[in-house]
Amino acid sequence: MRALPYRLAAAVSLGMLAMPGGATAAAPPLLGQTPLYTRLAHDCRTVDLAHWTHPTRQVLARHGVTLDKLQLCNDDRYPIYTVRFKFDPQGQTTDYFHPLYAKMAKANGYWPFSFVDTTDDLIVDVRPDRRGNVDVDYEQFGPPGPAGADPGGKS
Amino acid sequence: MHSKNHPIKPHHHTHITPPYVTAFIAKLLPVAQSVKKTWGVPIAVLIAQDALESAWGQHVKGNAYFGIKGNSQSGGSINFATHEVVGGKTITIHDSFRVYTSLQEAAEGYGEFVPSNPRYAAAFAYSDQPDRFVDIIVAAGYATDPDYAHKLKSIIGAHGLAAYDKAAGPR
Repeated sequence: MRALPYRLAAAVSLGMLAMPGGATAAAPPLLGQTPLYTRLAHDCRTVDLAHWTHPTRQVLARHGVTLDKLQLCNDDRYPIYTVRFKFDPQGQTTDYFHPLYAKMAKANGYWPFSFVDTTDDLIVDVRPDRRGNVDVDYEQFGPPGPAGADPGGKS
Repeated sequence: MHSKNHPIKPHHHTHITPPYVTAFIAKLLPVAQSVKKTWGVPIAVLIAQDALESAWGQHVKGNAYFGIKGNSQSGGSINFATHEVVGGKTITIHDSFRVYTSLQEAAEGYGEFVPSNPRYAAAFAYSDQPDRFVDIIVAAGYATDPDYAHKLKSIIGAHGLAAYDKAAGPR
């Protein structure tokens, strides 16, 4: 979890987020308050990575994605991968991420899943269907405040 | 002394700048100056980035300037599809890109996007050094193209864009 300076933490608590450029913007929701955790995923349990094997793990490893946490939600049918990417999913990086999403979709049996990208404070929702179409959507989340861990749980 | 609201003519280049390039810079300059003041993104970087991604404004769908994925502040997005073949099966990826009502709004969106991502925080120590700023954001993972930083810096150099940051003075 990233610690926030007092002034930035206060700004976050007031619903404003300070930027390096000196400006302010409306703060995005905390991870636990994003649509992923409030609407899409429920009854999540954290998987012990030391004993977890699955084809998706190999896909992540081959793409150099650091997997920090795996949650299985919705009766174990909806995985949420908490990861660190070497590239920004929203940047000029399509040639890296689209093959990754496609291979993950196949390895996950074309069931939907999400990435919680803690490098970019970004959720990437990946929704495949059986016909081979994959929809990708993004949600921003904010860093947790000084009061403690975000219930959505980066850690 | 250069006006902040008009393009500075490059002094050391003999090639002729196409009119659409001059017009693109003139249109983007005031908002790039405003974005730098508000968000700290160098003027030269914003112009070069947009020039590279939109071919100087010649190839843009839905005002998706800058090619940032996701939804804009107003919630707008446009989907583009790419195809990947995995295990002999063609998979079509529908990805969303931020769309805006105007070039100016797109520039503001880009100006907010870069500093809002902690990945790029270190670049903002170099708001007045566009080339250094470019090196840092690309090294931090903004682009996969290994020549991306070189491409941006070539545009900055060829069109004397760093002069706008000098003229604007330190933040």
